[in-house]
Amino acid sequence: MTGLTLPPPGPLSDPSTAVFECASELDRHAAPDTIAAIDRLFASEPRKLVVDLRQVESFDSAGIGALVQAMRHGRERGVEVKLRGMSKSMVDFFSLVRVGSLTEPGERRSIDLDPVTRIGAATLPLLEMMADIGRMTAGAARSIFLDPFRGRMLRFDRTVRELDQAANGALPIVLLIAFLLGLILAMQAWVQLRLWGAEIFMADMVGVSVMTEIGPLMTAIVLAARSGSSNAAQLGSMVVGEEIDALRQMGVDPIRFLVAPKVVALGIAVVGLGVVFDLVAMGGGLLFGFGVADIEPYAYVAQTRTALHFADFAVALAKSLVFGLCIGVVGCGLGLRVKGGSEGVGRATTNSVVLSIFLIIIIDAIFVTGQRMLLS
Amino acid sequence: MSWRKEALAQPQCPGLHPEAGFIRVEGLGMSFGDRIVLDGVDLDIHRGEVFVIMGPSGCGKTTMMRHLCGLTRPTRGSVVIEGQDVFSLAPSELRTLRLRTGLAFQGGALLGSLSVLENVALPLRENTDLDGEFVLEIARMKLEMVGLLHAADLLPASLSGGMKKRAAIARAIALDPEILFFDEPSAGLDPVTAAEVDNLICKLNQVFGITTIVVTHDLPSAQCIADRVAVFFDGRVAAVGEKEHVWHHQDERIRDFIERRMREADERDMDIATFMAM
Ligand SMILES: Nc1ncnc2c1ncn2[C@@H]1O[C@H](COP(=O)(O)OP(=O)(O)OP(=O)(O)O)[C@@H](O)[C@H]1O
Ligand SMILES: [Mg+2]
Repeated sequence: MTGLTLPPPGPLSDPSTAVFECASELDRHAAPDTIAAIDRLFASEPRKLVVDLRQVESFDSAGIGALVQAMRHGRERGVEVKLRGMSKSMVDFFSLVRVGSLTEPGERRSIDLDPVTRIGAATLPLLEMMADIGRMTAGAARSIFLDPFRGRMLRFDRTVRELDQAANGALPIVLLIAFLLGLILAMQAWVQLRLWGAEIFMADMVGVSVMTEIGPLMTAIVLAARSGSSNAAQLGSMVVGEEIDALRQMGVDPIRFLVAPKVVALGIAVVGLGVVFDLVAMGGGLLFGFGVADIEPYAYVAQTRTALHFADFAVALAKSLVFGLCIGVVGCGLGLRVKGGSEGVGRATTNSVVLSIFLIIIIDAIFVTGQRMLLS
Repeated sequence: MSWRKEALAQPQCPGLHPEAGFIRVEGLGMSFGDRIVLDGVDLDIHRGEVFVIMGPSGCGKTTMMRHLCGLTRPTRGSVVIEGQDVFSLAPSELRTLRLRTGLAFQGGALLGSLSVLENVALPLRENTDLDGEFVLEIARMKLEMVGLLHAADLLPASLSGGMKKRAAIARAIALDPEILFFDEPSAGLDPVTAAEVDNLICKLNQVFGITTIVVTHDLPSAQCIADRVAVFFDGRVAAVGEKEHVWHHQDERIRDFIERRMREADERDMDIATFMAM
């Protein structure tokens, strides 16, 4: 098949030429030693290296790979590498690859960037991400609040389905966490309060802490981990599978069709589950008070009612709503900007949880500061 | 805007003379980072013809098609459909334009959460005010056209590659588009089904006068369906014209491609020779 004549083996007299003789087996097992041996020969800085392959009886791709690597190293060091005594089958194998392009030295990019460029390279993606999420938020807000006035209602069926997945799915774990946290908080309060015989105030402590902070926060974190991440993964794999492009092509706005129902559902889910969380956690506290601290349930409930204020409750609800919308927007936003296959989907999923929780805490801080400043 | 009206507004032009300049691509360039994928492409696609884009794998055919639909922005150049520049349209105008086009993606791109039937019904549900039951009726009809009615209730994940492709074709023709894009419609299909898909493409073109742009590697299929052909190499149009013109093109590379000749074997044989010690 090849019109090549194999060069005749002959003695080499040039002293600047190194010769490497291959053993009879040039395979997967021999390859590492071959590479190391040839590299040792390079160390003596010859002008030319001849690899003698006369002895080779059997070879495989790894063995040929070792030769290619030797040729590449030679090229990088400016040593001319030649092969000698190749069998016909080896020449045939080589005719499947282009050694010239395989051993081409890859261009090295300098990674030493000056600090300003480095900071720029680190912050630019962050800014781009925020811009993307911001644009998507605007789109979602448009289709939730404005489109109904233009006769394009939010997709009710899809919203209900998303709500079912977010809220119903998370209900068992929220119930469990709420109940246990109620017990734990009551126990911690009781340990302190009984020193002063003020056990009844554990109702205040449990009620206020759960309703203002722990309820909304825990619910939001559970939903960020469950639904926010699943939204990111779902939309991300839809991007990878060109499904989002297909929707656009069909004249269906993916924000309106996919994102808006998810965001609304998460807003509702965090508010609803947050209220359930509050009730169950206070129930846990009550149970502890009754079982361990000998507080009458009636007295516990009455004490809780004096401790809670409607204003706090309203703020907690508003906070929960914003948490939910935020989880929805972050998960969908990161999912929609996925690039680069399944790895990108994984990254978006992780990032959505981290970013959601971070933003939840920031929003919480803003709410609390705002409320206190208004009151004082 | 109802589906019926749109259907009637279709140009009924089986025997009509093809109209030049229906879709005009001028100086289209696109690169992903440093990698230039499209390098100054000029095309003129006539109304009512079947235009086939051919070329080796990775030469930018899918990218070209995504630009024709306005799904990807080019780094330079323009795509003009009936005098409208796709990349300077307002979102609502672009949507209107897209409703006149259908695209069957290379990998299907069916929505994984919806059944095949619902996938085909989706563009009708979202863009027309037809009754829900009637929408399903139309969707079933489109599925039957691609021979996939028996799989109507399956989820895309449980379809074979060829079935996904046919479902995507059914979805692309759901809204009775004026312009149809097919990305490798017959790749991965058995010869009989591939011939059926070719037949469907020709029928749609003849009966409804749909301007059809097909990307394919499949020479017999191109032979059968094409009016005109463009051959791409490395992001450029290497040859374009009536299919007879391209089949008998002078250029060596195009001849090799059309005649399925391997180019690089000799080149590789020579390559190792330069590394042999004399
Ligand atoms: N999202 C992307 N990011 C980076 N490079 C891309 C991307 N999409 C495509 N490319 C590159 O653009 C080139 C052209 O891709 P394209 O999908 O258009 O090829 P094609 O002609 O459709 O090939 P095939 O016949 O195999 O489908 C490829 O070399 C590919 O590496
Ligand atoms: Mg392609």
